[in-house]
Amino acid sequence: MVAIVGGLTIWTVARHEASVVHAGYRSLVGPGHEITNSDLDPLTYFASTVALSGARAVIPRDASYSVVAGTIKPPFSALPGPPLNVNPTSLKYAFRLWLLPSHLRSAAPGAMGDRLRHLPGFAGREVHGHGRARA
Amino acid sequence: MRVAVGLAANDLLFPVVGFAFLYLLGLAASFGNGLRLLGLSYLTGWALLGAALSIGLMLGLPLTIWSVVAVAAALVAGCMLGGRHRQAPPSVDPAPVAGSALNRWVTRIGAALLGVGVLAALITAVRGEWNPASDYDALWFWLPKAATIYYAHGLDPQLWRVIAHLEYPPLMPAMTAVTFAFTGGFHPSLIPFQQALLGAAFVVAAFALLDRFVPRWLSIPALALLGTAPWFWAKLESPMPDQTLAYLIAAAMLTSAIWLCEPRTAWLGLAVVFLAAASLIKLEGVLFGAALAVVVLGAGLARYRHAGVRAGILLLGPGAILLWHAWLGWHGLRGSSPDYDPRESRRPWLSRREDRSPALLASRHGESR
Repeated sequence: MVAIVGGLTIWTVARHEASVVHAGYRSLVGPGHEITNSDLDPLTYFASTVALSGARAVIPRDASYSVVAGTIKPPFSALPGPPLNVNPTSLKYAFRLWLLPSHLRSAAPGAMGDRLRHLPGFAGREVHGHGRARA
Repeated sequence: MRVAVGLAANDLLFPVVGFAFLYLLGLAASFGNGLRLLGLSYLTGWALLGAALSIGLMLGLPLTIWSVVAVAAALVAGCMLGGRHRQAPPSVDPAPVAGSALNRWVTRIGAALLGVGVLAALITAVRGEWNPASDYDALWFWLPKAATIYYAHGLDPQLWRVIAHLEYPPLMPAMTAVTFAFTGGFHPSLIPFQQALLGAAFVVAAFALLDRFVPRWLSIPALALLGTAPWFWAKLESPMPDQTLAYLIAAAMLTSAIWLCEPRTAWLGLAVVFLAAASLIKLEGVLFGAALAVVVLGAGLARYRHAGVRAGILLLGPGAILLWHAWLGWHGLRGSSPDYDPRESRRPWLSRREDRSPALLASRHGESR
């Protein structure tokens, strides 16, 4: 009984353990991260970290701002890296999280995006508040 | 340096508070002086401090390092004083069962695999990053809620109002905000480590509780299997509260099951703390906690007759949610999500989410007939 149950359990654990140990080893020998980068980098899935950090630099704490997204897919989405899930909603959430405690307000429909998305190279996103940062 | 010291201080609070509570209940001596006691103390302290801080925030307590330390110190002092005046004798461990050589080898191999798995999890959590792509709700509302508590030094109804799912109680955001306060900044990348540490504490705590009745050749490999199971592993570092809720309900279930074998009210007291934390971490915890309380009450009445009524104190756990609903009502905030309102079922996007609400499923099933 012990041999059958214990053996089967240990065999199953050992099979899973290979990937677990591999993940731990890969993390151990991989490059370390600065904590500020580790906080911000994951938001790359949804928004440009340059735009996020730029927005935090120019928008004062407790100020109000709004996020306006265009409709053209950013050209850098084809580059290697995490798959960008660019849509206005997740873009807004990424900015809101990173810019707290500043207040995210709704932008007037078509306020900036309609005009800006016709500009050459516009990546489809803009933040405006007391200051402006552009991706 | 500040981050490391702050994180260590934050994580030291939990086992200290948990040990004091186990001492109050007369259970601390039941788990030896080693890893088993540490794991159970950590999980208990996390649940007790989390529930206490959540209730404190609802009552207007500011969330700062010093308020957290003050609450922890008050809990420790109260528990130690109460424990010194306790009349009941400490519980006695069941006698260990002598195992065969094969049992011991299975136990050792299982323990080695479990130890390597826990170590790998902690290394991955320390060196890795949080993943908003797989934990989208963390980006959507769990982390924003924690950030508002951190920046506002408490529960601000005006800030809470603008974040989705405001009906969810505040324990998880509060504990995340405590980490931010101790480490001196908004650092979501630290939360995977905190969550992995809590997961490791749960596995050790489950071993400590199971060890009273289950032979180690069975419990240790089984827990190793749990710890390395793909779904458990994938959610181990998640900043969302779902897996933490599972830890708390499982711990409450184990302690309640022990009470059905050892009729000491202390086990129920421990289960109440786990159920209160489960209810204050996510609304689903209220349902699971109430269901567990009713089942244990029924089993207690069947086993202990009139003395089984004592299991009714388990209802205090899910009852903690009433404070949260009182806070929501006081500030004019709604207490449930429109996602679960049957009147919303006609909206097109909800037709793809029927699995989230039996009421929606039933209403649409009625339409189709």
